[in-house]
Amino acid sequence: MTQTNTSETPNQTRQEPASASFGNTAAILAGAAVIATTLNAQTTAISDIDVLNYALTLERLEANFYTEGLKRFSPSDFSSSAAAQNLGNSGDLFGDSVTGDAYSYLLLIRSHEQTHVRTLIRTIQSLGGTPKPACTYKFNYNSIDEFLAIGKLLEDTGVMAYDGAVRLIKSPALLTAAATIATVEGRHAAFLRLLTGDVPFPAAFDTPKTMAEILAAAGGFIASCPAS
Amino acid sequence: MNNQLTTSNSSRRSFFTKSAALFGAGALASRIIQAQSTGTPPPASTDIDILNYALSLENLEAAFYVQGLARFNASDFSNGNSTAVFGSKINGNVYSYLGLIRDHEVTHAATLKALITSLGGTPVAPCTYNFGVKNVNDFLMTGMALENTGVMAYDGAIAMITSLDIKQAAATVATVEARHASYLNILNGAIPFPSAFDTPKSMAEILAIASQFISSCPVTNSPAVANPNAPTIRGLSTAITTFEPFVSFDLSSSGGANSTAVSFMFTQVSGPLANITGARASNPQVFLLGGKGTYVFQVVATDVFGIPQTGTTTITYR
Repeated sequence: MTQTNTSETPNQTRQEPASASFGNTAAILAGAAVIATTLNAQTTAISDIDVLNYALTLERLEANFYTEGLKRFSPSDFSSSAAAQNLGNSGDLFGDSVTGDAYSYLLLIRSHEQTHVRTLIRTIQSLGGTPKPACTYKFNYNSIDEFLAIGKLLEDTGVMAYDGAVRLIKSPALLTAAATIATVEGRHAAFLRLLTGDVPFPAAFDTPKTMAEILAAAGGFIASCPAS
Repeated sequence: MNNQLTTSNSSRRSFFTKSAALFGAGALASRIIQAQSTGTPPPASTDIDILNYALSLENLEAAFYVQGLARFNASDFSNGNSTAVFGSKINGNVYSYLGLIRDHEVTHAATLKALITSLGGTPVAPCTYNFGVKNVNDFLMTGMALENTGVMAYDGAIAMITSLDIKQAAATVATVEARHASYLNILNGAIPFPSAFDTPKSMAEILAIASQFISSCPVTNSPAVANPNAPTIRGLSTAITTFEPFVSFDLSSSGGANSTAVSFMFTQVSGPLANITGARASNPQVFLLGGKGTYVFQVVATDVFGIPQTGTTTITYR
């Protein structure tokens, strides 16, 4: 089990007892349920800042995931991964030219998620809102293949989250911005699915999910969040 | 990291060059339209207009894959670009994955058609297309261009949609186009996700790109769009006499109804050899390389609804 902070808040309290983690997850789920109830009752009660903070929560989680995982795994770990062994003819996932690129592509995804975090923080601040701080995360992987499988899950979740959030965003400019992130998450998802041996585009339409559904899924990766 | 990302062989480099040429027109149109549309809010399009715009792109994509996959078989693809970039397992999936993309585009077109009809609109009919595909590598490259164009189109259109349900549906199509684009980029040896943010593009920009692949459309398509007023072309004299081997035009005051932005396509109709620069810009220049004689050019200005206006100019070089 890996418990880490995002690189943006290195001084934040790190470990939490397991029971506290579960407690916090329950709290998040409870919060999500409240949000869902509000959503059903009155969509207008959710401000654009709320939606941006929701997106920030997910992007922080993703950014932390890649930052920590790519510190832990090297390009050679990647080329000797089971994914590469399983998928390639002679132990390579891709042919010569792309094999070398695959790890770089993971670094590029990390960079994108970090950029999304920074952009969302700036946007929330520029709108007079308070960006939600980073949480402490727990990603349960012991190998690069497990890491890639979680990456795939996170990217697919990101797609479903943005696809579900578009109906909540009021500002046309923010809606367009969200769409341009959603499609990048879709690109990441296709790549991670290809890496892990899945069909990159499983359906003609992606599935939009509500905040409650997404936060419930993300809650499994959150050990604790600052009380605020 | 940059070194690794740009590691390439000559085929990939030539691919990028071709791709850049394909997108160059769009980028240029983008600058023009940004310049023209500053301070001018886009016209209010109805959701049916936007759905028909999406349908026109999905019809194009569906036809592209249906035609291409009928023409090429799985073994053709094993001789294409993808072999150079993929290991055998993933390469073995290429044909079936492209078939899946085809099915998605066909489903998107059918769904949009049904949706437009259910809203009381008239769906645009498929056009006649010319993709200029000579081999599997051309096919993969054009597929990549179309998928990335689809992403930019949906990203640019979503904020124009009024209905929350249609907005959400558009998003779920946009992310699938992005998945396709990511895959097609990889097949062509390009970076699957070149930027942290995709680029939204306006209808006019997208239609300028798409028009490269369209030979002709049924005339019945025109009444399906809301704007009955064709754009006005300004800055194009019908007859010009010149003593120099070049002529410049300033079409920048052209516009659609309500002064909305238009895209341009400047082509030669007849006459001796001529070169055109800025064919998609508002300031095209023609170089009369064939010497003295009579040259005829036409410009097609297309507004955000896809309604074209054609103007011609006859240049006499003495």
